[in-house]
This record gives sequence, structure tokens and C-alpha cells, in this order.
Amino acid sequence: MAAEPEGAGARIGPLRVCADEERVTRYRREIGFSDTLEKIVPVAFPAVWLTAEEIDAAIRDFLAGEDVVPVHESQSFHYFAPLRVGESYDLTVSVRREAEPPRLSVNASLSTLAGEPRLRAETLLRIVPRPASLEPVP
Amino acid sequence: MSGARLPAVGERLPDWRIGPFDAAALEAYAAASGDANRLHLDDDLARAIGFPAPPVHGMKLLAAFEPLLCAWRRDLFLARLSGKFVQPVLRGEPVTLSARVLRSSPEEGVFLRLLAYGEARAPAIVGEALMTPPRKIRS
Repeated sequence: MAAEPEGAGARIGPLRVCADEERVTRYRREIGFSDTLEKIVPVAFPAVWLTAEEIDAAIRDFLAGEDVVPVHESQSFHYFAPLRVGESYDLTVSVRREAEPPRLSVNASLSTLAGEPRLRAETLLRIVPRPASLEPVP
Repeated sequence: MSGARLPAVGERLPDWRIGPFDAAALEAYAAASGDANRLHLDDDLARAIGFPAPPVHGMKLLAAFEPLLCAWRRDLFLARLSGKFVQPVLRGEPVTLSARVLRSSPEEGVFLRLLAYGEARAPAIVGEALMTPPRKIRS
């Protein structure tokens, strides 16, 4: 689904996402859980969904034509209830540009398919000049 | 938070040492997370930006607080996790995660200050966590 302009921001979704068991297990292992048999979705797991191409494209659109790069400045996850392995959710994301300091605010909301809220997440991307030694991404 | 002993304000969790992470570990995290940023995987790109080695994914480090917190209090739910990425930890550096209780009450739950740091001992991540019984989760 393409990003829809929304004033100074863009809205993406809802995107249907799933806490796929294999992917959750793999993610748990990579963040240091020793017991990956436990079927619990890590709090930071939605970061996986935030790498979706639709979101990435919206970020690229915001920065198009500028000689800058986004740098991950901060991240937050705020839960209303835990996620469950194997369940699907709807992810809605808004991307907004902030002038001072220059950055992009990526706000994500996750809800059950019945519309019950589960999570709010905020990603702040600081916009910095592209280092001279760094070639622009085609 | 009936039945559960609340931690005292100021309580420090035992330091949790992770890493050092090699190139294979960063490749594995990139594959598991979907984070395709080549900066974390490409030595030449890292050098071009001024790092002697690729930086470890900040999200890998922030997410690594959850095993620490769960090992400390399995009876509480990690309802909020946030972090500011202050400076990078580079590939090959050991990392220390630390946590300290800032506030603790039956009404609010347990707020913790989180710090991650590499060899430089300056904070790489400054974060916060809120742990509650599941029924306490609210907006």
C-alpha cells in the first residue's frame, strides 16, 4: 500500500502483519534469549515489521532530493497488552517531518484484527548531512 | 501489584555482559530483523563514515535488555521499553547492560533506567523500561 500524503506527513497502512513463530524464535535468539522454546513475542519484535518496504519507501520519499541520511536516534515501545505468537495484527504507521531538530518521526500503532490496541511505537530518525565520503544511494 | 514484592528504589540489577559481536552475529541479526542497513555489515562503508569497524545495530542492543529484565523478574511484564542511541558500539566490542530502579509503586509499576555501554564506558544507549503485572497495563 502506498503512502498517502497527509499534510506534512504520510500515513501507511493498515498493513497486515503476523508474529510468525519461526521469525519470533529467530529474533529471540538474536537478542540473547537463551531459551528460544518459550513462545513469547519479544517487546522489540515489531521492529521487524517497521522494516517493511512501504515504510522504507515513505522515508525515502521524505528525503528525496536532499543530500542527507537518516540516523536512528531513539526508539520506544509502549504496550497495552502482550502480543501472541502466531497471531496477526494491523499495523498503521504515520511519518512526519520535524524541523528543529531536523528529523523524521515514525509513529506506529498495532491493533488486533478486532481493533483492540496492542502497541504504540515511536521511531525518531535524525536527519544529518550525508558524509562527503558516502556515495548517494541510487 | 498484590502478592509481588516490589523492588526498592535504587536497586541495581547485576550487570549483564553481552558480545563481543562478530561479523557473523551482525549478519544474523540483520537477517532476523530485516534491518538491511549495510553500515552494520560493510567495513569499507563504516570506514568511509569514520568508524574503524561497523557499528552494532542499536536495536539489537536495546532489545537485549529484555532477557536481562525477564531474568530479573519473570513475574512482571515489560510494558514499555525505550532508548536513545547516544553513540555506537563497534563490532568486536564487549557490551555491558545495566539497569537501576528509579520508581517502584503498586500503582505505577516499576520504572527502570537502562544503560548500555561498550569499551569506552560512555553510554551507548540511555533508556527506560516499565514493568508491571499484565493487568496493570494501560495507556
